Amino acid sequence: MRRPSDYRDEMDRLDPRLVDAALAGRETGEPALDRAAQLVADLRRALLEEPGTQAPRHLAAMAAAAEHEVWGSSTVLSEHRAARPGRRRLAGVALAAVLLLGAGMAWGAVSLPDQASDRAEEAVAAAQERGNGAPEAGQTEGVETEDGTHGEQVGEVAHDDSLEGCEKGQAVSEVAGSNADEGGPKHDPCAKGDEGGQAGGAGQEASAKGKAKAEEAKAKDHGPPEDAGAPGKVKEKEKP
Amino acid sequence: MIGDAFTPVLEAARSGEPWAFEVIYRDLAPAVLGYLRGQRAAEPEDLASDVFVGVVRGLPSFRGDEGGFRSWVFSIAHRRLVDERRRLARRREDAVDPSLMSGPLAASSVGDAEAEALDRIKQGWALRVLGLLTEDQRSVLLLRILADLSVEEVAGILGKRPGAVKTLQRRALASLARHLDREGVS
Repeated sequence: MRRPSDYRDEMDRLDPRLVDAALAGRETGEPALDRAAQLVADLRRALLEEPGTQAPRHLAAMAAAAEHEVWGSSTVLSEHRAARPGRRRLAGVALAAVLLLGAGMAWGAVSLPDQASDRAEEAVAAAQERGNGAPEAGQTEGVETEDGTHGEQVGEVAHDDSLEGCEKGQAVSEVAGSNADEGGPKHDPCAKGDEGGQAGGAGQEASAKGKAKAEEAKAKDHGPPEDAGAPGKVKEKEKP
Repeated sequence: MIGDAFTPVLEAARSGEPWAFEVIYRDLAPAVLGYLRGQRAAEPEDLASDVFVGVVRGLPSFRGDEGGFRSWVFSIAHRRLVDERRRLARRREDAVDPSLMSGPLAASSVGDAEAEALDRIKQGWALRVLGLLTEDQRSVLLLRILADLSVEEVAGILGKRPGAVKTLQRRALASLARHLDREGVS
């Protein structure tokens, strides 16, 4: 009976070319090695086998990998990565251009942004529905002339030196408001004793009461009360 | 081997041509599957599919001739095998199983349940023979006889020196010869 080390020693002494021949399944002339070579050849035949039914599945997996991994996202990704510095530069230039353009538009008031322009068009359409629409293109000159005439009239009154103070302001206001809606209550801002007008509210009423108290004090040769003309304070005192 | 047509086939495969994939697959799949079966992969067919998917993914970066391509494919197969073994936490002993060495080679008197199941198929006996070898001996032997790789290429795949690979293949042959002598096979 040979010991295991005997086989090892025998193989270690073999020419490497014989070992290669044995691994290739060829005869070597060495009995022990030839038997091993025969076994190696049998192993090769036993293990080498066509994939058979698995082949379509494997090929489909390869095709899918090629489509989705290599020639799909991966290649695109690598190209994307390669182009990234250039795109960054382009993005920077574009951003600078947008900022400069925006600043220029704001300076020159060239045009409205889209959103504002849309809103303006909506407002014009709504006004036209109400009958107060913006003038058509052909009407533009007339409207401008009318506005200019009105402005001139307002300017004439404003520069009229014959009027002063409240009267002048009232006259300018009347001329300027001549195109405005005629409805609603009017009041005379220059009328004495009605400084706050009807819209003055409780403060104006209190102011009138304060003035009445002042007149009473004058009649009694006393100075006017400290709170005269201070509607807020008067109102506070009137609180229960 | 694909031979002279290898370069155009490789270029076509890089372009995504299905016919080129099939040529490569038909040439290498039997050896890859045999290697994985011989290494007792748990799911050799599924692992082979992973290997060829890895080949397709790596095609754009591959450079070399057919020999280099073959070596590269088996390096992928070996890495996939190692990964699978790590995942499965190694359910069996890869070293020599004494029970496999008892009884004649053709008989099925082995107590290993996995080997008994494989006895019913063609590769059953081959696995028992390969069970006589250590893991390194088996890897070297399979890469040498199935993939037709050189000692240097095998050394590159396994991360060993060529001298170590030569020693391993001689020891593998010695183990087989010893087993045949013990079993009385002539």
